[in-house]
Amino acid sequence: MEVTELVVYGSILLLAAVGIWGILSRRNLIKLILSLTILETAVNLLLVSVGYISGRSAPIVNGDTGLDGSPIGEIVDPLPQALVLTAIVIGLATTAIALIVAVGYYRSTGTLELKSWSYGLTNEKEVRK
Amino acid sequence: MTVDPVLLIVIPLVAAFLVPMVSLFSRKIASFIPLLALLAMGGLAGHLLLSTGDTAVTSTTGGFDPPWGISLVVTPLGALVSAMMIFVGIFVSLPSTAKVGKGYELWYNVFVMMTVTGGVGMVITGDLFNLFVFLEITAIGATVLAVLPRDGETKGLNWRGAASYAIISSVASFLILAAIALLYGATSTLNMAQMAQRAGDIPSFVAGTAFLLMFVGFGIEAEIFPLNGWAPDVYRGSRWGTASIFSGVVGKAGLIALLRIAFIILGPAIGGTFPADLLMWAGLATFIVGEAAAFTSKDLYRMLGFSSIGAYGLILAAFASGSEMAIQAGVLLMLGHMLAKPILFSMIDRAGAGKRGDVTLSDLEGLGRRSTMSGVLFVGAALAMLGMPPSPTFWGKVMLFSSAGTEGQWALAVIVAFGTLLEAGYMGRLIWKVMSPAKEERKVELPVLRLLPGLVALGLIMLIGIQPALLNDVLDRAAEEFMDRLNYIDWGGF
Repeated sequence: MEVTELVVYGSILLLAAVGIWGILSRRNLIKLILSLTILETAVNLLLVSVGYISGRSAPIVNGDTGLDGSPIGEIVDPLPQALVLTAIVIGLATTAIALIVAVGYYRSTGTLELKSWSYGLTNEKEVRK
Repeated sequence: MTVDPVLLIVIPLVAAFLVPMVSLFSRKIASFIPLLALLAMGGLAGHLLLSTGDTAVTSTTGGFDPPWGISLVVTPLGALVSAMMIFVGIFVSLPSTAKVGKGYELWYNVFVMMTVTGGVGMVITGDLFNLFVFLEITAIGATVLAVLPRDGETKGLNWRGAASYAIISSVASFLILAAIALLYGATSTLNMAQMAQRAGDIPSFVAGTAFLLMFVGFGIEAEIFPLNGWAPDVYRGSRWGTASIFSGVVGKAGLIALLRIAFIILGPAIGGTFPADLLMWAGLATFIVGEAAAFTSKDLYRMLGFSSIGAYGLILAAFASGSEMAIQAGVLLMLGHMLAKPILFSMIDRAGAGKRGDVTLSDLEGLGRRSTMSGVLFVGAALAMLGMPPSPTFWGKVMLFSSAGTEGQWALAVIVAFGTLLEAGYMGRLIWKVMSPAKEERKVELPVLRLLPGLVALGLIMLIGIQPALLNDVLDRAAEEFMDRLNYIDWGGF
């Protein structure tokens, strides 16, 4: 295994571990959402590293050859790069929705800590407003 | 001529774009768009169900042959489940279409439509990455539905339940995406049929890791024990339509996706009986835990939510137990649950109308006397859930028992019998309360838009209960899909 690969896979594992640890150990909504995005970064890194082949050129075709004159068979797999773009955009949408929910939760309860479920918790403040 | 199944996705997406624009001019007209889209989708899904026959209807987007383009593979089971999901969507959005312009009704209808679209997409897609995209559409739609308050009021938004679901469903989709990345790395394809064909190339540790990631991810969506901690929070504070969508669409889509990945794609790569065993025992544990928790619940939304969790467990166990008859039983159980649960949620909403907080057993008292039709619908649906004939659940349970008998899976039979007893315990209490004399004379309103879908659902339950042979073809094809992977590979065009 080359040093680059080691660094990439090491970062994926580290980021995933940090993200999952955060999700399991925190109860604060903002910290939970931050942990989610860290986990998401790990997954995106994994996705893009799947298509990377060391020593090959960028997936851009220039006539009959790759970008720098390399044979067309020597470009990296472009599909994961397209997938990771999609995944990032979807991740943005889910993060936005999660943040909206966090704002709503904060407005109705006055805290960002997730507490056990109850009607009083959700209703009282809203009625008071 | 067969219509292109891609319309099942295109129609609601176009409708979703139209709604905000039309609502600038008239909220009234805008609020009919989601319902019309769902009705069109329902017609399409029904047509696909009739035209699938012996094989699957496929569609390749953009004219790129698989594996280059995204392909949709509508198997007969996929068509049946899609049609049922759309039915649940129509069921829950009909009553709010009448209350246009009030509170959140318009947005409720839009997000019901989007969640149903996501669920349908997950069931009919033949591409793993596309499956992830539809999973996210479902999750976003379901999160918004989870927030929306009962009766379209502007107070009492269920932020707590929505927060649980938003976080946990994001974790689920990232785990699934990681599994997809691993599988793509091993097979260089995202097309599910082609991936199944190349399953032999997947190293067993990659297959094992991907399976566990998928199990946790889809297990969260399908409310499988012990991954369902979020579900009671959502069910408890949600409106009846949201609860019906969670029990009829969100989890069902996750369940079918998990079963396809486990049995069609990953099964041979992992080898042995590990995937089937894990799924069956997880299913049985979910069934018992769900039914036991339902038995002890006070709030009726929570009780029926746990009962849905139990139903998910039973369906998973039936599919995973592996015989042809058990798979057919699983389809029938799924069908029975999707038809009966929305009726129960709808009637509980009627019983607790105008009430803040928990809807308890005493709210049901005399429901049958206060409104005869409500009583008929409730008792009919509750008996159908339990498996009283004539109902699909009856045939499902009979077939599951006889399959367990011939396969010698005694543990399965005993656990299912015990769970059914628990189910009879709490359903019996509900039925008893509904039939008992009313203490208060508070009238129960049952608008025709709510009565109608309930009657249709009850009618379908009885039709399938009396004439299960109507579904023979679909059931046979469903069993073929999971018993022999080559069928799916062939249907997918490889």
